[in-house]
Amino acid sequence: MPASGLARLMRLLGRVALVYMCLFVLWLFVADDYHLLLARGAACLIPLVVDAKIERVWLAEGGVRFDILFTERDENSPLRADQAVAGYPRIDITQYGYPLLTFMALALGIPGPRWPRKTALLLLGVAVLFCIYSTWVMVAVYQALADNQDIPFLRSNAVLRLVPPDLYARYKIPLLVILGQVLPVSLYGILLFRPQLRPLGGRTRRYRATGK
Amino acid sequence: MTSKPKRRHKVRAPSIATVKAVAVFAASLIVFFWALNNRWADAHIFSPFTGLVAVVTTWIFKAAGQTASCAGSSVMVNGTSLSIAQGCNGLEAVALYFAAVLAMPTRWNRRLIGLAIGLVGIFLINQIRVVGLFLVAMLKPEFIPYAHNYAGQTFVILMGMALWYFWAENYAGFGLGQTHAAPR
Repeated sequence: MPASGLARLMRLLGRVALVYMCLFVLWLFVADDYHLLLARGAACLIPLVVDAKIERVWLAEGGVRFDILFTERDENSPLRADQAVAGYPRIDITQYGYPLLTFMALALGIPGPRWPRKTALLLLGVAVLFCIYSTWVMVAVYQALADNQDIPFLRSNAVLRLVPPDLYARYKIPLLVILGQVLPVSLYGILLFRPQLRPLGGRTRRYRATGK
Repeated sequence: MTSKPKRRHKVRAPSIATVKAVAVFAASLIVFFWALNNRWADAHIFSPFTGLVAVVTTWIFKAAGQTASCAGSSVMVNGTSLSIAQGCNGLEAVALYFAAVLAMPTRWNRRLIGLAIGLVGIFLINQIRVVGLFLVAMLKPEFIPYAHNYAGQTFVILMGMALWYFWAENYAGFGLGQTHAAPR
């Protein structure tokens, strides 16, 4: 690799690393709110079978983060039926947050398209990721409930039919890898190469002139 | 009074090249992730590779004047021990990168250059992550979950994709900033 190529590569890596560091610092401030939003998205889907509401609880032992608690809507008890189970089903929702960070850093850090198109790409990608991960949180909540309970309606509901608990348990880690790493990168690639994605505000004069 | 006919937005069907690229990307990912979970491949290829990551980490800390030793995939530096697991050897990022390189419609010699750049580059980038994780474990162990789950994984994936972008622009002949996969 020639020296100028190496310098270009170093500049590119430095740029991406810088964008990522800035986003990461911002993320530390908004992560809890985003996780709450994600849980709200999941809670919109959960009432399809279980009537649930969510609230944020301060996790004392960790000291640095909130946990999201899904509770029964009528009584403020956590979503569980088996009273013998100690505590409540714990789902680490934080692992569904960093793929968004990956996607945003890719969209903003890698030079790629011009800003109007980049903004459209970013907004569309964030919306798609939010929908996918809130759906996945809902699946995870059901799986956690299925692990801890023996409720007939849970066993026969559509979510568990679609993702059976044994399949979920067996492929949980590869699925998390796919969701966490493959999905944001693939989504970025698809949106980057998607010719139909119009820039925000329509095609600009420069776009029309160049025909891009 | 005649009304102007409504302009219809033409939706271009994806070209054969795009469909082929997506298919190659998906198929390559399936093969690579199957291989990463294959016991034989793990025992004969990936575990020795993880051991190499551990050995290089030990060299780096020894070169920096620290007391370091490794056994298999476990590394001990100044009394702090960490085990480099399957997901921490950077091979998932390599798989993603390789799939992206193979999916690009270009010549094989250019692809081979891309694969070489990715393998070496992601190995070095992953070393930065592993050394960084050690520093966090030694100085601020309470931040290990954040550093491991958030910062480390995302860092390697991002740098891997930046390498891919660099290869695509400079070696594969694609101007990604200007057009949509138009070969030069």
